[in-house]
Order: sequence, then structure tokens, then C-alpha cells
Amino acid sequence: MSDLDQELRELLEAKAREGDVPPKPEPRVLKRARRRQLGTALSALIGAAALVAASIVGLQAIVRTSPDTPTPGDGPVLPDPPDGFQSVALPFASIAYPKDWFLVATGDGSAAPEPILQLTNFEPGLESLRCVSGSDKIAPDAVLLRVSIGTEISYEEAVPAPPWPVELATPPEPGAFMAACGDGVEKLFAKWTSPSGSVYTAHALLGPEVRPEDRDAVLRAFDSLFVTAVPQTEDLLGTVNLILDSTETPAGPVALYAYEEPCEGSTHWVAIAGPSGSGLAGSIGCGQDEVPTGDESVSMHLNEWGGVVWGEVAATVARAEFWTVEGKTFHAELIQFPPGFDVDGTQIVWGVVEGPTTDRVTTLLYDEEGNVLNTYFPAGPRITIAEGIDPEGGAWLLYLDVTSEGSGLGFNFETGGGGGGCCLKPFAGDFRLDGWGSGGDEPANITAIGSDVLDRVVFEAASGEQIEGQVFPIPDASLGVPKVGLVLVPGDVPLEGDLVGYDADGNEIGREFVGDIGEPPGPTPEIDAAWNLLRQARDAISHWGSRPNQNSLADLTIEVANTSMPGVPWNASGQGKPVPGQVSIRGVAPAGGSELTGLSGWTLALVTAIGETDGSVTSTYCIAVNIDEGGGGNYRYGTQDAAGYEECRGGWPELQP
Amino acid sequence: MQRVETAPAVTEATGLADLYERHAPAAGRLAYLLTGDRALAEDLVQEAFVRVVGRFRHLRVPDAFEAYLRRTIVNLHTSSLRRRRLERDYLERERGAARPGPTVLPDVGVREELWQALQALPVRQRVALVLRYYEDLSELETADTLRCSVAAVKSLTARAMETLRARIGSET
Repeated sequence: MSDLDQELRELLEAKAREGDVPPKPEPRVLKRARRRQLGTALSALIGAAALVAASIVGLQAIVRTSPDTPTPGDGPVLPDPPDGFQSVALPFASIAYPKDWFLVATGDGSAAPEPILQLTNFEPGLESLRCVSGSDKIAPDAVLLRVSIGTEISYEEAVPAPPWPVELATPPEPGAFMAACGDGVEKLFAKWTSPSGSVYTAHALLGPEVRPEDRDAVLRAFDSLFVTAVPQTEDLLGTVNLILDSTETPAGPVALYAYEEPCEGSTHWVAIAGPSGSGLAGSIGCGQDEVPTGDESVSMHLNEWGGVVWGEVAATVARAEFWTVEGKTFHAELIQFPPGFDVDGTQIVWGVVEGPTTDRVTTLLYDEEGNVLNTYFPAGPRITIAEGIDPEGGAWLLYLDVTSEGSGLGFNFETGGGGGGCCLKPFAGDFRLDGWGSGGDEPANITAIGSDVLDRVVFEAASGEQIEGQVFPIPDASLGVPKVGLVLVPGDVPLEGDLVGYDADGNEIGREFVGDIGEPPGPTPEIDAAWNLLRQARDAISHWGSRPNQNSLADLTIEVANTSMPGVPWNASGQGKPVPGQVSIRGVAPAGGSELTGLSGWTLALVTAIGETDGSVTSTYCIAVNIDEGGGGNYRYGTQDAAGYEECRGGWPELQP
Repeated sequence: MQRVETAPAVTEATGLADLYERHAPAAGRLAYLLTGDRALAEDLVQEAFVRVVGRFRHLRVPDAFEAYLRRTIVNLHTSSLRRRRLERDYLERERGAARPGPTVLPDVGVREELWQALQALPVRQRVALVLRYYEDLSELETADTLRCSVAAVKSLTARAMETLRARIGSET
């Protein structure tokens, strides 16, 4: 260990001690953590028991809906809405109200008195309930209805509480009953006892210039009211939650709502809440710095009957639909943020997907002319190439995802990990590694593509095991990739070795290294010299490409290389031409996520050769370099002993000369 | 082919407060080495904790909470650095020439210079050094945390050490 190594270790140890954070978490951290747990709804498959329960709840919600006399039950109750009304189930109440009014849910049922909902014919804001303080005022034509568990002030305690149904009426002493909230405001009051024995109160405020239809509407809304002391839906996550919409699902009614909480770069959050115990809950932050360009700000809760999808998209979206990998499409509702929200350039999208889906739902976005706005979107249903059951990993699926950018191979274990990439291009060779995925205790999966002659694929592990794979035809002939090989490598076999393809006669048609790539020593001094030359060029380009404010190989030409990296003997006699003792640049291209690192950056291939004293080439050598944003240089070897540079291949089709 | 791996669900096993108390000190020290700022480090740990806990039920290996927390801290630090650098540049411009020079005691001078040099490294190089020399991660583990190849880790580490050597050598 060098002095600097030691000094660095000691420095880090010493400095680390200065960085101790308080070991006790702040309450807000735990609160956010719990909320985040609830909000992590994406693709969370709920258990069979929960599904059964949810189905029962949903059924009860439908059966128990009654037009005139809502009654308590085990599931969410939805009053039948009159024309122009919508019905919403909240944790502690259900109500039907005019579609253009604003319903706010609040309270967690832990205290009485406690407001549980506020209904207004104006946008009330999300900071607090209206007309609670004496200084608040409402417009002359405003209407407000607030329902609370318990009595709000002492005067109300003496008022009898008969069983439901009751009517809103002028209280015995209007001046004493609640804040005036403006001059000439009419006050209505009701108090009742629910079947569970809880006492509820309702306060209505009607401005002096209230329209008759609004007066009628608030009375009808009150008549539709259903209250429950036991939460009938999942908790709402904000303190003051503005209901944006409601929809029916096989699990029961689900509400879409918004609330304010200044955290994680977002102030406004859009969330869903389904029947209690259904797990249909989650939240996504909106109004962040950047307007989403696609569906990256869309979340979803998927389960065996389908799912709920919701999120934020650009305001320029004129129409949206949900698309499953099975090729089904579903209508998506676009909802504008209320004017009082400080959210520019975006709107809310949400809806229900019916039927099970095996992967993430894509939200397809269209402009007014019907053009798709997503930069990357599905262009057809997922195509199954093969499926099977692995003794270790269970059921698996090998598939093709058809997208706007092309078709990509993907692999998934049904109960575990997997993933796919893009895009397959017509393949002229016989055998090439496509990719691999590994992690956890599951078998690793390796895929390779091959020509019609590919008959067998084997993974020869460096640890000595030989893992036999399978070869399948790719159903879409237009791709120009006839076959795919799949090897599932047991979890206890290190993923390092060669993937080998064979034809029907047992001839080896290709071999590719799988795993971490080291720098092999050359078997002869001449080969060593060739490799050292390539490494020298690679390092020079890595250094040049990551100079300050650059991190790009966009301007790299042989002329630039000669000028900027004079220490390397560059060859300028032909692109990628193998010349002994010189280095040629075969190609430079944006990597867009390299096979090795997944990082964005640039890839290039460098070529050199060894030959005879007369200058003739006997063997060609090449190396590929990936420059990532942080300046890290990754490299990958090509064919080490090729007759010409065309054979100097290493899986970089974009760099073909 | 680039693959995005998804993980099967697992069950949450422990209380959030306990989880925080168990992991916050080590996480805080790592975050401080990355940021060089105690308040930022605390924010980073809390943010990372919230995010990892949010995904806890989806973690492939619950026992690997520490590794997930470490990776999240590194990712958050890397992604937030650009904005903070702008803020820092602005503040430094505001302070201008009136800012007093550092008062460094002779016996800690080299160490302080090394600390300053470390802070001046490109973020991924600094992260690589902290993970390798403080967290004692192997090259493979560091690569996994940084989501890059082992070769990239080697390169980042070598270049960082080269820079530190040059910096310390030129100032001592």
C-alpha cells in the first residue's frame, strides 16, 4: 500500500467521524417513509387473500348502493348520483355532489370533533378548510357544506341527535352556531346519530346571492350523505385532500385526489384510494421542475383484475390511452389541475385497465393532430417466443417487445426479475451474444441471436460447468434474426465464461465471453505489442474524451487524433484499416447506453495489426472503448486473431465500416 | 442488450425507526465523505432512507438494506451535484475577494489539502475512492454500486489517485 493510499484511508476514517447524523429519525422522516411505502404501488401484485377480499368488497359496494337511503355496510357505499352529480366514497363518508363542485376530505377518524368533508361550489384551496376561522369570508353566491364527527362548538351539544335521516335546517340560535364567514350568510345545521352510535353534525353556509339551483344542490348532496366510523377506503395521504374524480373498478370505487405537501421537489401530489384493505393506494408528485415529455410521471397499481393508472403528463396532450403489453388499449381520462394549483404545463391522466397484464402499462399520449407524443412506445402486442419452467427460477417467458424503435428481446421469470432491451437489427452473422441478466438467487439468463444454422447453445462456465441452453425460432421473420438461444445459468454457478453456439453438425459457429472482462495477456511479444498499442490509444482517447466540459467523442476524427494525441501512431490511410504498428479508428458512435454499463456515452472501435516485414497483415486486433458521462473508460475486445478488419467484430454493429 | 431487472416482492421485517437508527450513522458518514457538508449529508441520508424504505417491499434481499441505502445515497448525491455546484459557484462569487484564506495548522496541513483535493475531484471519481478506501468495497461491489463495469471503476480510481498525487505533490 502506498503512502497516499494509507493517508487517504486515514483521512476518510477521520473525516467520517465528523459526519455523524442524529441516530434518531425526525418524525417527518418516518412519516414520509410510511407514506412512501404506501405510495409504492407500481406493479405491486397483491396477495390472493387480499384479492378475494377486494372482490367481495367490490361486490358489496355495488349491491349496497341505494338511490335514496344509503346504509352502512362492510364495503364502500356509493350513492346513486342524480344527473349532473358524481358519487365518491371517502374513508368516513360517501356523498353525491355536482360534478363542477369541489369536495375535500379530511380527518383520519382519530378524534372527535373532527371535520370529515367539505363541499363547496368554489375552489376552496388546499391549505385548510374554509369558514373555520371567524375572519374567513366567502363570495355572495358561494355554498359550503361541512360534515364533522361530533359537535364543533358547545352550543351544539344541547341539540338532540336523532337517527338518520335528518334535514339541514336553521339552527335555534344562528348567531351562536358557527363563524359567519361574511355578511348576510345563511346558516343551516343538522345533527344526528349514526347506526354505530356516533354523533355527527353538518354545517351549511349559503351566501346572500346564492343561486336557487345551488341551494337545491347542497340539500340534495346532504340527503345522499352516508357516514361510517370504520374507514371504508384506504387512508387519504394529505391533510386536506381535494377529490378530483372517482371511478368504479372490480375491487370497488377508487377516488383520485390531490393534496399539498412540500417535499421531494413537489408541492402537489396526486393520489388514489380504493376500498379499505384493497391496497389500491399510492401517490405521485406533480408540478416539479420539468414537464414530463412522455409517461415517465405516470404510476400504476396493477393486480390480477387489471389496475389503476394515474399521473401527470404535459398539458399539450390532447388524448391519452393506456396500452398493455398484451396489445389491449383502454381509455385514459385527462383532468386539468384546478386553477388554484400552482402547476404550469401539465395535467392529470388516469383510468382503469381491465384484465391482467404481465408488465408495465404504457400511457400513449397524442397531440391535437393525433400524433403520438411518446418518444418510445409499444407498436404491437408482446410476442411470445418461448415459455417454460425452470426448476430453480420457476415459470419463465422469452418474448419480443415490439416498439416504435424496433423489436427487442426480453426475458422474465414470472415471479421474479427480468427485463428487455431494444432493438434487434438484421443479423448477417451466425452467432452473437445478445445480453444477459442476473441477480439474487434466480438463475441468470443469457440470450444470443443466431442464423438458421444455430442449433445448440452452451454456456461454458469458467468454473468448469457446462450449461446447456435452448434454441428457438424468432416468430417475426421480418426482423432478419432467425433464431435466439437461451441459457439459464443456475444461481450457484458464477456468471463468467463463454457462450458457445453450434450448428446441427456440432461445429462451433461462435463463441462470446460472458461476464466481467479482463485484459488478457498476449501469447507472443508481437501480440502483446499490438495490445499495448491499442491500450495506449484507448487511454489517450478516454483522456481526450473526458476533458473538462466535453465528455463526448462527437468531434473525433483521425485528423483530430493526430493533432490532439500525438503520442499514438495513428493511421490515416483508411478508416479502420489494419496497419502493423499503427492504430486506425474504425468507427465512432453514440452508445446510448452501452451493453456493458448501461451508461450513456460514446463508443468507438480501434484497429491494429501484426504482420510481416514487407507490411502485409497476418492478424488484426481491435478494441472497443466506451466513454461514459463521468469519463470512465470501459473497453471490450474484439476478435483477437482475424484475417481482416471486417472480422474484427465484438458486438458493435453500429460501428461497422 | 441493456436489461432492467425487476425484483420480486419481499415482506417488510422491521420497524422504520429501528431501521433508521441501525443504518443512519454509517450512512451519514458515507454521505458526509461524499458531500463534505454535514447538513447536506443529513438531508441525503434522510432522503435516501425514505426512498429505500418506499421500495422495501420490493427489495430482492431485505438483508441488503444497507447496500441499497448506500447505492441510493450515491445516486442521489451524483444527481444532485450539478445543481448544488451552481449554487456553490454563485455563493463563492458573492463572497469574492473578501473571503479570508484558510488557516491551516501545520500538523494537519497535508491532510486538509488531501481533503480539499478529494472534494475537488469529479463526482464519480470521488465516489469511487470513498467506496473503495472508506467502505472497503471490492472493485466488483463498487462497480455494482456505481452501476458501471469493473474496468470503469479501475479507471475512475486510477485517475482519481493520479489527480490526488499531482495535487498533493504540487502543494507540498
